[in-house]
Amino acid sequence: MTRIVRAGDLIGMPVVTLDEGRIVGEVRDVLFDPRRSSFVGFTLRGRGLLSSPLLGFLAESEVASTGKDAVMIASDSALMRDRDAVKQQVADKREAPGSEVVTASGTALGTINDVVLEIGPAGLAVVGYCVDRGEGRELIVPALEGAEWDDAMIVPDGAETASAEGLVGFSRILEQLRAARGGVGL
Amino acid sequence: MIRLTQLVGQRVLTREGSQLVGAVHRVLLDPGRGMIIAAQLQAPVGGHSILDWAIVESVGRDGVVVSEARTREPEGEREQQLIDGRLELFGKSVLTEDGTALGEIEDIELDEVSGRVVRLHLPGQVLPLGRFVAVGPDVVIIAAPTASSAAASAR
Amino acid sequence: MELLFVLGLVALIALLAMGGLTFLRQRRMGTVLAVSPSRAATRNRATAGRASSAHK
Repeated sequence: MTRIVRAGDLIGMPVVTLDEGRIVGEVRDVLFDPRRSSFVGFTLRGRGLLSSPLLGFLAESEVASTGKDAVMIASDSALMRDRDAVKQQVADKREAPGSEVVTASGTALGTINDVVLEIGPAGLAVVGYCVDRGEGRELIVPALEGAEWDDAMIVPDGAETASAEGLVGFSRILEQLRAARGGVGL
Repeated sequence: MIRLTQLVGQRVLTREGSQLVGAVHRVLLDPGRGMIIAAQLQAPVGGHSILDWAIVESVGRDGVVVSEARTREPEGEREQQLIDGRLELFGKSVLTEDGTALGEIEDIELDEVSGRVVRLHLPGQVLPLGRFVAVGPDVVIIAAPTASSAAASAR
Repeated sequence: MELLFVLGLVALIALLAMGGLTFLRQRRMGTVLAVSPSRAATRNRATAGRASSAHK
């Protein structure tokens, strides 16, 4: 059973330990690798305005489940709390929202609004990018074969035609693309 | 069956002499076994507030009968959390182990002989339940209800 | 005059509180981050690679 979500919707979700029923923090940043179209992990912040703005890092492998209402981890030790180690994880990072998207042949598509993740039994994967085309229009472009990213994110020619305007439409596009390729991966 | 709402506030009496030991204030559940293992008493005689559920002989609408008037101080982190009110069950949020919120606990049905949890009362549904994944200070975690048990128990 | 002073003080405190709240909120704000190495980092690694092979 899989579902697709916008990465931005995961921000603020509580992170809960399965062994103690304790909320250790909330999701602050969602980290992904565009070259591998993979989910890398979450940074966490404390709950409440006066709490710590950066509590730790939760690697992809330590996420037991990403549910509709909470991210579940086995125990508190799943969290990397050492400040230097956490900073190492988020070094060399780039904010996705606001980044420009162009096709390989140079057509400007717009700027990234959000990233679409698929949540399944194996975990989370990057499956698409929400592109703001201006004037309130948004297009969801499938994450085909990983994206190159220099000054702008470069997507293959034809990514625009294989895109949808909403998550429901995008789900169908994903199914079609997978059926065409005869497999699960994009 | 007895509901937690009926159990809380009940007098605890010894079998012989019907000595009043105290009144049930909060219960401590063992999540894996899904049963009451201790209770925090209110107005305990002798000043100690923890009652081991092992000495409970029977639970009825009129009182909890224990084999002896034996209470003690809290031992360990969980009993301390119980005393601090952090393991209060009523109103505690329930999550499935895959991260879906089911609402807040309205009541818990227990077998009065064994102290085992039988059903969990949540907004809009009553779930048959044998054990918990965790009973914690922030949330209670249960295994995801199967489609058939959820359908059978929806009000 | 005293009333004006008091009102001004209240307004200042309110502004500072609002600024403080905004600051607290912004330092907690999260976003979606791409963690591929940036162009600068890739260039640095390539330079380091050439420098080390020159020493062989």
